[in-house]
Amino acid sequence: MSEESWQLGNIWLGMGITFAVFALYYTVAVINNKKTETAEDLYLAGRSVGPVVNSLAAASTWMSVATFMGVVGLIQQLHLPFVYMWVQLILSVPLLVMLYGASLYRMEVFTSVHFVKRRYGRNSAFLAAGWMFLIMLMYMIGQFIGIAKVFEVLLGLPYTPSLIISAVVITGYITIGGMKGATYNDAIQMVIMMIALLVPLAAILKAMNVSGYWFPPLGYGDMTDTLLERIPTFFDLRFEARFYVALFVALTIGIIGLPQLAQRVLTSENIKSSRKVVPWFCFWVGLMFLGTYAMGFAGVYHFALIGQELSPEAADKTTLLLNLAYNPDWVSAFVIAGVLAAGVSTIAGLMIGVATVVGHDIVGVIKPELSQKKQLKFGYFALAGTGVVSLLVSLNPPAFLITSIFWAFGLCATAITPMVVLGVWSTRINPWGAFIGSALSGLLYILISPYVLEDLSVGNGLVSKLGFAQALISVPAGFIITILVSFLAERVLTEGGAKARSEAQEIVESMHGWATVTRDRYDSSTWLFVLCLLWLPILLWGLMPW
Amino acid sequence: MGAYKKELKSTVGFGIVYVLLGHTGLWAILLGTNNDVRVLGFPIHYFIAIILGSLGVFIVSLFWTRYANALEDEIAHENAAALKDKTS
Repeated sequence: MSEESWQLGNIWLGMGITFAVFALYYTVAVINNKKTETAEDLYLAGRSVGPVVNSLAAASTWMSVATFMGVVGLIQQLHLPFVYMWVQLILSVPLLVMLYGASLYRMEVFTSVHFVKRRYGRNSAFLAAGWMFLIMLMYMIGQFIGIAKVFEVLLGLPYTPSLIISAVVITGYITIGGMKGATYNDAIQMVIMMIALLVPLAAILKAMNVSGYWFPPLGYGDMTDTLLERIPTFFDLRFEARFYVALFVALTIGIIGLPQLAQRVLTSENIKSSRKVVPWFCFWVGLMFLGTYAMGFAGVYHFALIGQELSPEAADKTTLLLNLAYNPDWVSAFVIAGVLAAGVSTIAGLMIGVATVVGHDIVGVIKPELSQKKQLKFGYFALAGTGVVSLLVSLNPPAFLITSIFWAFGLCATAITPMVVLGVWSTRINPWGAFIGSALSGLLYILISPYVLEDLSVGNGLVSKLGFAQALISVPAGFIITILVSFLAERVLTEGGAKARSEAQEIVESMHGWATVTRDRYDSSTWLFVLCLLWLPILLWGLMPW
Repeated sequence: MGAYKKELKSTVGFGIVYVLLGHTGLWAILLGTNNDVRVLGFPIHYFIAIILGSLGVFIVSLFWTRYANALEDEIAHENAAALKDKTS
């Protein structure tokens, strides 16, 4: 399949619709720039966003370029196991809000790093910031490269100018609009994505003579028999039970700690509203995920039917190939707008996440006496700077930064989630446990991955590349080290340990909404030991060869 | 049961339900698969995975939001009572 057959017949249609949607995003950004007066406006949209808009924005931040490109291609390569991998990603916001989002909202913090600083002090905050930068940078580079490839492959523009133009345009509108502009733009982008995925999909299914075309998310069951005739193993589980346990350990626990999603929750207008984001988010994301599986299924069906084997690169573009094959050019042009919306909304969330950590959390630690006006100025510099740095890194990214985002989720599960979640639910976790647990387990995860020291790498093939084999060792290690070092520090550093516990009792009880400090709530050690015991068999299982 | 215990129990309970809904691959490993048993034309294990991983999680989230927001009010009531005791 040649590159020409992936391109729109009428490139001006693609250019026109791209220009139109970016003009809309800039308009929204400029309107919201006028409403940005404080750092809280810039980073958290003045904590004024209602649940419907916020849920659309959170869903949009979550839906990356992969929703339209990588995922559909991976369904073709991995078949059913990939659906199992993807399905559980919907748990991100529900678990995040339930386990710590609402508590962080009550603390009035700006980011997870801000929480770590208040709960454990500046050293742990700098460590958490370091991990979060790495995770968000990997995520962001993937999105910039993805968008540049859309321009390159579909519109026929050269790669480097595509990257520079897209990065400058995206950085511009996000810097102008701040979190308020990004939130409303994200919500608009989510609507564009849903229309761009589901409506053309209905037309594709109709052209394939599928009877349930009028409801694409669940209407493609007709194709099952033909698909099984061509690919009898499509619905096989393929992997051992350990693979499916690793999905929970590496991915579910990883996505809970994603800083850009946590920040979305903190923009809510009140704590009840932040919880109401959860069902709405599940509704939008559920619908999009069902549409994605349908598109993947249709792609597998289409290419199995015509007897064509796709290269992984071509498989990535299945959504666009199906549209070019079954729908008129103007529909494909709108799908390109959907791909761009998916990419830019994710970049927006990540850029604001990085900028808040730099402009608010780190600068706040170094220069706590800054005026509101200067904080705002730093914020705009941080936003623009984040875009410029990401662009420069994306021009020639080091190999370790372009690994799969699934690998970054494993790092988040290892180094971020234990310190944040345990810190919210236990007063017994102290700065020593949090710092050493996060540092050691994070380094362990990196060292046993195939990207640094290949000889030390555990697992093989996909489970190793995606970080599943490593996470099965490093995540239990992260929880166990954090807990045991905390108890050890409490015993050894008698005075310091008691002071840290007393401070934690005040912070933890108040962040759960209690007006009085009893020093009994969240202070038990039993459940922490039970948790260590539960992690132990998983750790041993992870140490066995794959 | 006090709001504190309710908070702990509901968090563990809803957490387990969410994980079960999002990880039906393990159910399929335990219960086995059969491509001939269909729902809406799909093999049942595929249907269960996609429907619980979308609609299932959505419905549980509606219940959780209601429960957690009601618990928020209960905590506020307990706070008011505790502050009253303190001042009297």
